[in-house]
Amino acid sequence: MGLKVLITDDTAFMRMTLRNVLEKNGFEIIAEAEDGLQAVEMYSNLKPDLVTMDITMPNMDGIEAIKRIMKDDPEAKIVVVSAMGQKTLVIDALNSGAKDFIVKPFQPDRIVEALQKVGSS
Amino acid sequence: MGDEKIKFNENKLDVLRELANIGVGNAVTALSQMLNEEKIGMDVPIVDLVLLQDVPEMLGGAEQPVAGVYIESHGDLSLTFLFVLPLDSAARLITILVPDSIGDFDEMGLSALIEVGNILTGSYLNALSALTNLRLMASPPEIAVDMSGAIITTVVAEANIADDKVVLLKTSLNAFESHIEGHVIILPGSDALSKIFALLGIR
Amino acid sequence: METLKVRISDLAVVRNEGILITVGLGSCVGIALYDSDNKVGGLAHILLPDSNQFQNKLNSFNPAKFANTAVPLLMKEMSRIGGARSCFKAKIAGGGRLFAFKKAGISVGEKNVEAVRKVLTQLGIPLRGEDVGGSHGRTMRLFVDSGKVIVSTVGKIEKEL
Repeated sequence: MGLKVLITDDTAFMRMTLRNVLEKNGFEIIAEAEDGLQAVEMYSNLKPDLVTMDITMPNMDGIEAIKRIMKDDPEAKIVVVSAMGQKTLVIDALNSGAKDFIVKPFQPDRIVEALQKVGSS
Repeated sequence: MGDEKIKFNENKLDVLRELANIGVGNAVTALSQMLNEEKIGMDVPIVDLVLLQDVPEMLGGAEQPVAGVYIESHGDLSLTFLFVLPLDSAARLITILVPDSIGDFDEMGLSALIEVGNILTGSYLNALSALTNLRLMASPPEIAVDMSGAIITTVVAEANIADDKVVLLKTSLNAFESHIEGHVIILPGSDALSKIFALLGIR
Repeated sequence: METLKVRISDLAVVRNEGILITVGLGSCVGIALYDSDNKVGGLAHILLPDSNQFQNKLNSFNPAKFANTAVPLLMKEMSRIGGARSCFKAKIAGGGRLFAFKKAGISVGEKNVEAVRKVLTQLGIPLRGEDVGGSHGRTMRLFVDSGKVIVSTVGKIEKEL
C-alpha cells in the first residue's frame, strides 16, 4: 500500500516532476497544493501520510505552513523541497517541525529515500 | 538610492566579479543537474557600471523577443534577478525538461522556465549567503515573453532604479549539446552594494 | 525617410519629415507630441512617473526619464525648432504590466500612465489617442510629415492611434 503524499509547490512543472518521481517509486499522490494556504487546508481535510513543502510561495510561505500544520498535528511528516538552501533557512524549517530538507535541483534517489525514511519512522 | 555615491574602483568591481563567479558557478552546477549532467559553459561574468540605455543591446537588441524570468530577493539585501532566454533557446529548454513537449509556451512550458529561473536564483543566493552569512530570501518568480527592451525596462522601473547607470552583473550560460543560451542579469538594489562592501571590509 | 531612434529615458524632436521610433515600451510610456500646422513632432520615452522622489539622490539628473519633467522638456525642444505650443496634441502608448506582479497595488506602468495624463492636463495639451495598459510591450512610431502614430506589439496587428 503506497504512502499518501501531499505535494506543495507553486510551480506546475515542479509538482509534475515530483509526482512522476514519486509515483514511479510506489507513492500515491493524493493532492497538489499551490501555496502554503492550500497545503494547510488540504492537510486537515485529507490527512496525508507525508507532505513535500516548497518554501517560496505566494499567499503563505512554506515555513508558515509547516508551523500551522504542526500545530494542528504534531505528528505531521513534512519534507521541505526548495531551491533556497541557506543554513538559517534550513534550521528554521527543521525547528518548525520539518523532518528533512532537500535542495533543488534534487536527484530522484534523494527524495525517494528521504520520503521512505520519514514515512517509516 | 545611496549606491550611486559609491566610488567604484577596480578593486570593488573585482570583488563583485568574484562573487558573481562563485554565485553563478553554483547556479551552473544546478542547471547542469537539471539537464542531466549536460556540459554547461559560463562566460566570465561582466560586472560593470553600464548605461541602462545600453542594456537591451547587450541582450541581443531591444526588439528581440525573449522569455524573461524575474525574481526579487529581499532579506538582508535587495537584488533583482532577470533570467533571459531568446525564444528558440527557451523552446529547446522546454522540450528537454517537459516530457512530450514540442516546445510550446503553454502553462507547463512556462512553468518549467520559471522553475529554472527559480533554481538558478536560489543557487546564486545560497552561494552568496554562505559567503557573507546574510539571510537572502527570494520572491516567487514571474515570467514574461516579450521584447527584451520592454522586459528589462519594466524590471528596472519596478525596482525603482532611477540612475542612468546601473551596476550590472551579467553572465551568459550555454548548454553545449542542446544549444541553449541564456543570460543571468543581476541588478543590486539600493544599499545592497554598500552592505556587501562593508561586510567584506572593502574600501 | 530618416528614422530617428529614441532610446529609454530619452527624447527627440524633428521637423517636416522623418520617423521617430521608440522600442521596448513595457511599463514605460511613449509620449508623442505633434504640431500639425508647423509639422513639428517630438517623441519621449519615460521610465518613471515622478522625479521629485529622487531629489538630490542621483549623481546625474536626466529629465527625459520622468513623466513630470520629460513633457515640459519635449515641448521646449519642439518650440525651439518652430513648434507652437498652442498647436501641440498628444498621443501615448505603453504603461503595460508585463509581469503579473503578484504583489498587490498598482504597477509602475499604471503609475506612469497616470503621471503622463496629469502632466498633459496641467500643461493644457489635449490627448488625442492612446494605447496603454495590457500585458505586452510596444513599439511606437511617429511620422512627422503627417502626425500619424503607429503602435505595434509582438504577435498582433499594428494599431494607428
